[in-house]
Amino acid sequence: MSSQIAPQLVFAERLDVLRRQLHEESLSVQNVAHYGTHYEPFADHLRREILKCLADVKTLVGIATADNLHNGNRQLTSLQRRAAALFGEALALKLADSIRRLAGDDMCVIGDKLLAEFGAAVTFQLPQLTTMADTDYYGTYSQAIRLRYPTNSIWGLPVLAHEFAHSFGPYWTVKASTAQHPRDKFVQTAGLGTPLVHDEYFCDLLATFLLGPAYVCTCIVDRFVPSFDRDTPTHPSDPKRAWWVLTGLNLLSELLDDTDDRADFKSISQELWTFWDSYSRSSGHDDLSAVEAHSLEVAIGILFDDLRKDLVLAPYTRPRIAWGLKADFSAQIASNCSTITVRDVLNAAWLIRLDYYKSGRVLDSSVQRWAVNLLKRIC
Amino acid sequence: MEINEIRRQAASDALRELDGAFQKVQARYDRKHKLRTLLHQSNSTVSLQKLANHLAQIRQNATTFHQGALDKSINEPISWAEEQLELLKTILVEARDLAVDLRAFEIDKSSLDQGTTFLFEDGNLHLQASKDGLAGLGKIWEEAFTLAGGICLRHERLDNGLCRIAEALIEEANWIRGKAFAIPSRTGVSILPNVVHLRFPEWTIWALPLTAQEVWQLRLRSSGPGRLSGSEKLLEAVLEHTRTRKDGQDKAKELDASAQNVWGNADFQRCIGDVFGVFALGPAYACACIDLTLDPNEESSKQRALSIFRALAFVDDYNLIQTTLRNQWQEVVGDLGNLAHELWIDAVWAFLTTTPSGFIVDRWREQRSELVDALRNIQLSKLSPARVKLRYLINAAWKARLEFPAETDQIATRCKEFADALVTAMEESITGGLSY
Repeated sequence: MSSQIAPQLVFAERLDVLRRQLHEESLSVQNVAHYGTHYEPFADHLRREILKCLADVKTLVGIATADNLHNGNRQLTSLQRRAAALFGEALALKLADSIRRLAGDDMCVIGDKLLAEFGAAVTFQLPQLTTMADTDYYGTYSQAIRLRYPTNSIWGLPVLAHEFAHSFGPYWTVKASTAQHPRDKFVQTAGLGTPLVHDEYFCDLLATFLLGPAYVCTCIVDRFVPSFDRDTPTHPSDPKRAWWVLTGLNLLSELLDDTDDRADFKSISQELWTFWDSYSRSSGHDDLSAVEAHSLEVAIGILFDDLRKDLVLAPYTRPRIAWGLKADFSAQIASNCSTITVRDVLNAAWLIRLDYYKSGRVLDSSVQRWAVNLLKRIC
Repeated sequence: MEINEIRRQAASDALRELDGAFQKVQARYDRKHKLRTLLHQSNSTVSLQKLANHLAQIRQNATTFHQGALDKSINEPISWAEEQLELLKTILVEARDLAVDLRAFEIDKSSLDQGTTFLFEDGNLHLQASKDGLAGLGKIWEEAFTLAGGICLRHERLDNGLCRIAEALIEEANWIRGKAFAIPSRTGVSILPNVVHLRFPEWTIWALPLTAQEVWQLRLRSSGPGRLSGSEKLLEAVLEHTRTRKDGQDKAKELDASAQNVWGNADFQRCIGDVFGVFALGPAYACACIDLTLDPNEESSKQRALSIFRALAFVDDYNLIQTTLRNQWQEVVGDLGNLAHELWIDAVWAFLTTTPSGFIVDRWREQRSELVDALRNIQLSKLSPARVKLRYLINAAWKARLEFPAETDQIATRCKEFADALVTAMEESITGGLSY
């Protein structure tokens, strides 16, 4: 009797373990639907993805022989990685309800509302769900969007626009166009880095398009750092992203009909440019090179044009409402909630915050409190 | 009898006459308003229609009783009564129509009494202090007749309702204690507390922002509890605020050193009043000054213009209008000159930003396009009086006028209409009369 462990047996064992795990998880995920109808579409989508993975696992059953084991192992490893991602999404979805209840639902409810606004703006019918995690993230399989924990501040909400763009991008189709999938075309051909890098550029621009100054302010003031000046395989450098979103804001301002409103947007953009330049220099970093800037300029022009032509309801071009809310805050009077959106409140909050900086005041909690109260009334 | 004795007696008599004159003015308008009230009450207390119905019933009863045609001795009196009734109805309708303009006297009695008492006491103080009783009383006399004349002009609506709009604008600015009373006038700044003279060309909607200068002057002249005058209190507030600012100690010392020479100077205070005007009423104040009132041949006007441009420069949103007005002014004046009191203007502006009187630029950004469109396209019904303030409306009118000069007259008409509607809506919560 041989004392050797047969590789084929080990392979079959591993395959069976994965198959059982996927099968059990496909049943378990169904329970998420019981948390409420809100979670049902996400659970259904995830279950479909798990079943697809399970079907692919089943195709490997019985094919492992001594001759093609290497190929079988390669496929199994790929499926295991895919399954790991699915299990992670399943865990996140199961935890979503608990997290939202235990860590405070307010921001997530507001986040859901913001995502719904984005969806309506781009006529995107898929439901959206916000939960919390250690980083901002869009889960492709569960389609749940994570806000970075701790999520007790409105200032992180604009990042949802970027995550929404990850969700929407693959579904964006344009009829009667040479490129029916402009996002895919951009991701494949932009020439600014890897496809993942291109996707980040896409999401930054769409976020700027959808949310206006609030997104750009969040990036420039709160998130980007001049010293993160190298592209990674998955993300462009922060200086490039800063250039990208600031230019996006300038392009967005051109969509405003009113010359005074346009001038206001541009003046915000100019203030942020000045801040970023000063931040960069004080950190010992230079501007982008002319070559880098030119490449970005060409790419952003093409992509923005696609957005402008197709997503006609989407751009944030309502500065007057944000100004009005800012005036209400200064005068300490109640705002009329019947016509304002989460986007308006976030933009107003950022305009107030910029004023604090310009007048040398320290930002206190009054802006956050005011915004949260208003957002709760809207939601 | 000594001459001074005679003059003192004459002055004393004149002051008593003054007191009586206002009572007569008020009594006259009270009678007119009572007439209107009676005429309108007659509509409900005397039912002419019922009377007509009764006459008709009498005719019918008589016809029935006499089985057909009425005898002349019965028919004639009934017919005469019917004719007279018709005539009475026609006369009453016409009388009510004519009486509709007889409005209630705009200053309530106690407030008018306070105003006249102020003049009377001021006059008596002067009498006691002065050897020549009549000298210097001219100012009081002038003020009294300006007040009386202004009240009458206003009451007869010869100001086209602009005075009440000016009052509402002053109230929005929230700079003086109590309610202001605006009257059309030919003379300079009033000596009465809370009375604002609207001088030519301030009898148009375009010039209304100029009331901000009057309001600044009112505050300077005001006196309240404590030993300091309004002017002294403002000076102290500006200096104190400057001291508390970063690097403000040296600036405050410099201001303090020049205050004695500068603060009481009338030309200087007009420049500061202009700074206040831009602060409280926005670019419209600057437009009214530069385009309507400042004389390019006067040195004082040049300083005022420079003060206005300096004030406009404090707000980014005003850059475009500042450039426009500066270019307009430079075309007529040639050499702009140099601003004499930059340090003071900067200090006053910084102090003003701590007060609640400022023109809210964010609200202006929110509403300007909608207001300009409404003024140009007669879509005033879309604007809600609850959301719109006069300051923004008048600024929108000026903006529309500068961008679409061919439409000036229509814009003025619509602006006036909507301003009237706004003030009517506000007046429901405003108590009437002067208050001190």
